[in-house]
Order: sequence, then C-alpha cells, then structure tokens
Amino acid sequence: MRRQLTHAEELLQSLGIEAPSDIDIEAIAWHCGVKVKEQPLDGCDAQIIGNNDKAIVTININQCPERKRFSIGHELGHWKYHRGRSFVCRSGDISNQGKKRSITDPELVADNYAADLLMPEYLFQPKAQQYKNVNFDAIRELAECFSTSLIATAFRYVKHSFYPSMLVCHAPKETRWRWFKVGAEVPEKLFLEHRLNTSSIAHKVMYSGLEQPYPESVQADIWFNNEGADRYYVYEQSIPIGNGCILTLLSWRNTHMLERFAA
Amino acid sequence: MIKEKKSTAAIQADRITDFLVDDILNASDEEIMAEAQEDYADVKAEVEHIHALIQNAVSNHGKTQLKEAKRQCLADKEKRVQNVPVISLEEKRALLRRLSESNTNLTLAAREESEMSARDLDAYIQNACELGLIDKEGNILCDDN
Repeated sequence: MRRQLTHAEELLQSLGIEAPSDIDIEAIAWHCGVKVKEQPLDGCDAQIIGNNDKAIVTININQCPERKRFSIGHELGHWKYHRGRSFVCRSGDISNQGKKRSITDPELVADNYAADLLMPEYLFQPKAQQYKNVNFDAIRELAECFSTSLIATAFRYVKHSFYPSMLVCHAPKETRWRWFKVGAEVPEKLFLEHRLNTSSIAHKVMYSGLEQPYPESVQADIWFNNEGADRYYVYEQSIPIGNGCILTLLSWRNTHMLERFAA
Repeated sequence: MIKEKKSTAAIQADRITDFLVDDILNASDEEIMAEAQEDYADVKAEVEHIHALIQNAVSNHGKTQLKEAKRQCLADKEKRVQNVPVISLEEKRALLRRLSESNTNLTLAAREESEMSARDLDAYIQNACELGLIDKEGNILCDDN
C-alpha cells in the first residue's frame, strides 16, 4: 500500500519538487502567502505575524543558513496548522528535547512540519538507504545534501537508516541522558541507562572532546539496563556537538537483540 | 473577429469535454474496465502511462508556480522599506497585546513579553504595519471586535 504523504510533502509535490536542491524554502513560503525577512532578533530564532491569508516571518539574521531554513519551515508549520491563533511560548517550550512533548504541542507540530518540508520522506528515505554504513559521515553528507543541520538530519536519519539505530544526547554534569530519539525498529522496551557508563565511547569523547571517527562494537549493557543486555553488542559512535554535549549514534547490524526485547 | 471564432470553438470544445466527462462519471467501474480492455492490450500499463502523464503535467505546473514565487520574492526584496511607529517600548508592548486581543484572524507566535527585546518587538510592529494591521502612528486599523 502506498504511504500517505504528509501535508508538507503534498505541498512539495504540488510544486514539482523532485530533488533536495529544488527546496527553495523562501519561494515556497512566498507561494503560501508568507514573506520572509531577516534581521537581528534577541529572544527567538524566528517569529510570525499574519492576518487572513498573508503573513510575515522574521528570522534571526545571525543564525547559520541551515538553522534559518529550519526556522522558516517551523513558522510555515504554524501558518499551516495554527492560522488565526495567537500564542505565546516560553523559551522552555522551544527546542526542549529533554521533555516528552505531546504530539499536539504547537512547537512540535511546527518542528515536524519543518522537517517534512526540508527532508521529505519521499526524497530522504531513498538517499538514506544508500548508506550501508550507519554513521555520522552518512548523516553529514545527508545534511549537506538537504541543507539541514546535523542534529535535525540525525533525527530524521534514525527513522530511515539502513540498519536500526537511535540517537542519545548527554550533557556534562547531568545525571541522565538529556534526550534520545529511536528509529522505527527499536523497541520501546529497550531501557536506556540513565547515567553515562564510564566504559562507553561517549564518556571518553565527553572528556577528551575528540570525535570517535567510526562506530565501534560495544557490549549492549553499557547502554541498556535490560536483563540479558550483556549478551548482545551494539555499534556506538559519539561526537561532541557543542556546550560539552555529546551525541551518540547507536546501531544494530542484526536484529537479534531488538527481537529479544521487542517481546 | 478571429478572436470570437476561437472563443466559440473553445466553448464547443468545453461542451464536448463536459459530455465526455459526464459519460465517464456515469459509467460503472466494470463498464470502464470492459471498454479499456477492448482498446488496450495491457490496461495496467496504460493506466500507469496516463497516471505518469498527469503527474508530469501537475509537476510542470508546480515548477512554473515555484519559479514565479521565487521571481516575486526576489523582486519584493529589492523594494523593501521598513517603517516602525515612533513610540516607547512600553507602548509597543501594549500595542502588540491590544492587537492580539482585538483581531481573531491574527496569527501570532510570540515569546512572552518579558522575553522580547526592543528589536523583537520592532520586528512585530514593522510587520503589523506592512500587513496593514496598524498605521505609522501605532493605531490599530484592522480589528474584528
């Protein structure tokens, strides 16, 4: 059965977008009745004001190009789903990936719309599947191809990677992971260790600041506290992502462990 | 008068098209399949071919729309002028609050007032001016109360 396209994908297809380089986000915004401006902003990455069928989005000129694109996509998400609504968000509402957000949370809805616009599944999945090695090199190449940030791309990548995978982010001096994102094939009953294990590669990266250049096989109980996890192995690659935070990509080249804990 | 003849021809063509469309809409799926099997050796391949033709037309139309949007967007950037009413910061905050309360068609995703700097507020006020929601003196022009 053919997958139902998301609203963002329908928009892209109606505009004849067939390659990542066709995704001209400002032109798409204009087509939707939204003008994009750039100027310095202090309290946020972007803001939108609209009346009836016209709106203006202002994005912070001091962001990197990838972030600007995502910010425009995010505001277009508000325009698509929250038109005619005024809402105030606190800084904690935005990009708070540590907190589990409701699927109806306007910020999450807008984030998902932005991800769908910039990395539509019908273009992203075939490209992601071409990388038979699940690692950060693949994510970086995809990020370059789609002009998206490493983290936004990694979020989408774990859903479409050739082997099952997940992301975990740790921050220094925090007693548990900050956030994680699992791919579709990773069972919910796989429980992440709260504390970063001192034997993990991520721990070494956190204290050396040096990136682990390739995934390495480690015993799964370093990462998961399920009983019997020590009988399995998982591939781990960790990189620093700024402010002392570490992003880890965990992947499985066979499904034995995932099947064991899916039951 | 060529124009008039063309127009008549177009009207006639529209009538024929309407008749054909009605004919198809009134036919059952079985009747359409039976007729297609008489005309084409491989109905599935023909359906795919037509589907591809339609997709192609939609895609080309979309590309033209996107190109036009890009052209207009670039043209607009060249003629932008920024106007902000000369009022105090507190008045700007109050104006944004009043605007939000007075217009139910307004779409606004904003930070809490306390988190908004003067520049952030200016961006909102400028854009509200440009959308015709307030005038250069800071009066609300468009409300629905």
